[in-house]
Amino acid sequence: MSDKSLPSDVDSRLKVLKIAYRQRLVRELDQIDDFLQALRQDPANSQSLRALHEALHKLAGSAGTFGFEQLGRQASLLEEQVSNALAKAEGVAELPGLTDWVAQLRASLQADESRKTGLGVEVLEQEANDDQLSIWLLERDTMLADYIGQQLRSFGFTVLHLRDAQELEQASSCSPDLLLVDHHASESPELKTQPEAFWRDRLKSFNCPIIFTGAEEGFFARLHAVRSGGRGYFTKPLDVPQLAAHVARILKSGESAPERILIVEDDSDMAQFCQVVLQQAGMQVEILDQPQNLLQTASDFDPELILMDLRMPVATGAEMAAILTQIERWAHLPIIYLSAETSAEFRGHALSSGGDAFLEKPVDPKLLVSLCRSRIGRLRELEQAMTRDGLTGLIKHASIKEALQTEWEYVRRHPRPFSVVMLDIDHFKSVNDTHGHAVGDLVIAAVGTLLRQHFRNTDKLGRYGGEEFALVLPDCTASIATGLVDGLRQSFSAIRFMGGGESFSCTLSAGVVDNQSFPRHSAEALIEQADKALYKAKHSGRNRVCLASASDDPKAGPTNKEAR
Amino acid sequence: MTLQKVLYIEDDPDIREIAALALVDVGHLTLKACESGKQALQEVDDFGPELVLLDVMMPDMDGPETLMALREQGSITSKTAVAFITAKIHPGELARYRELGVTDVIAKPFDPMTLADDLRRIWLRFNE
Repeated sequence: MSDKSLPSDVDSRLKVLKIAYRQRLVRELDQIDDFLQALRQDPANSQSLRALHEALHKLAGSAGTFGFEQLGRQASLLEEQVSNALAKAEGVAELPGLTDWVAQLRASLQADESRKTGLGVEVLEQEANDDQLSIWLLERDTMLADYIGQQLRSFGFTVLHLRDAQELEQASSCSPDLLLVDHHASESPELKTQPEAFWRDRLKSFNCPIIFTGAEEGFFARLHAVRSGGRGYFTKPLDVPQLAAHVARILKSGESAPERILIVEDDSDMAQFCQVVLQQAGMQVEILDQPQNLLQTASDFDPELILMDLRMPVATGAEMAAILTQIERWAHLPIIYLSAETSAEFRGHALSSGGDAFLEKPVDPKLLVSLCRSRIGRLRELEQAMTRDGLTGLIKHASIKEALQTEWEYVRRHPRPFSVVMLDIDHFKSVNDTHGHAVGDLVIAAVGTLLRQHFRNTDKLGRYGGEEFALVLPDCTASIATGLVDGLRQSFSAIRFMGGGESFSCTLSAGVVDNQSFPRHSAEALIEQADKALYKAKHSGRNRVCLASASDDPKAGPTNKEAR
Repeated sequence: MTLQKVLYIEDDPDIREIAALALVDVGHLTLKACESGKQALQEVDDFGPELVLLDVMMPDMDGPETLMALREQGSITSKTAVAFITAKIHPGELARYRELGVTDVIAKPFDPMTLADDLRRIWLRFNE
């Protein structure tokens, strides 16, 4: 369907309707999922079957009108099956692939969204996830917007292009996860005279992070962006991989888990006061009023910080801190004392036995929250730095091997498939030689960003070495993994990097193996197999994904004992 | 006589909205959109449509039932064109709809850019 040559107000209203409909789709797909779940438990439930039929019928009739043609066609296909089942008055136990229906609908939706780029980004053969992050791109230049949109989509974001502030205003009934704003994107005269006030006013209803873009460089351009309500400023021409990494980092930090705080305090009023204050700030809080239960509670709750009363009947706060510092697991746990004590000597003693800071009673709620949050934030950063690779944010070599070993041991007790993937950037050395190491690092970082966007939270994603990556995918057979990695491969090849004023693209090769094809292999041997498959991919021309097969490996025969 | 006034009965609010865009802004027609057969029965006579467009599958009163009720109260005459709009159409149903005096059936999903043209074509055929 073409929406070319329309008056611009109709065009933007159409866009707004499409946005609203897109949000409704999320709810409708969830609802269909609910009906299917109900039917799985009770296949003969005709009420659920009729509800499912109605929902699919609605979808079949409306999705195409709003530009989601493939979703509509898929819904129509499924509707037909339900309609036949209804006519024959039989349950849905007979319907093929019922469990995959929602996944199929979501994949169609994703296909519709990818296709809309019109720039030949291949559809990912991947289970579409609802939590795909949406970016609204406010950009005057349509061609530039198409380009940026396509690039960001290949990083796994959904992107909606709006041409100016007016379109944004009409669309503001719903909200994206991030706004990317060209700071000249309005014809309004107010933008010329008071640009900062203009944007603050236009953007005030958005709670999401806002990043400005513009051709200007330097301190004042950035200051303008900050004063206009922006979280960041990127100069044009935009370096999209860098932008994507930045965006992923901003959005990730927003979704971090709540801080866990243990309050050790015998005065229950005081303890509850602190609990309420911290809980209101979104933290998880437990109160310990029996000091003797400290170790049990700590290992059950796994706190990231302890608020400790100094004077308690059974043991003093300083004594409790001293106990904790003796136990390796808790030795680095931040401890903040709550105390009305002002004697410097007393305080010095308490700190030397293991505490980190004092907070005076009566406790100031704001100070309490910010102290807890900043301590835990820094603790988390430190842990991140210890286990994660700085450039990509992926797990480091040793930790990914450990993750593989853990998974391997887990499936020995609870059999299930898992896949191991080795992945390598093609001709990476020539990227470094031609464009320099800084650009090479950017390419590596882009793979990191892409991996985190494409895979589940439960997947273990590691940087194995220079330009080599290792993935451990639980609950995933090699054939599914191959599809996922191939989607990643296609997305990666669509990304354009900038180096020395020219743009270029890269490809990657991968080898995939799963535990079921090599049931007698150790974790280590599975990596070797994935590596062999990777070499097969390299030798058969690169830019491809190869599957390890047992026939390639004489050791894989059933007569062989565990291969090393 | 050119087509001007269209009554559209459709239970899905998003579809009513995009249809308004398609028929009024793109197609320059005059539209009255009703969310149910019941509402249509009350408001049809004040509006006096030349063409009535009905969604087939609706809760409470479906399209065919609404059409019959509209005829019964005399709101649809020999001068009024009638069209159905639906996602699923089986050959047998089409014949049944024709017996109800329906000029044509429009397939859902419709293209908002051409919906008005489709209605104008139906209007021409009806007046042939």
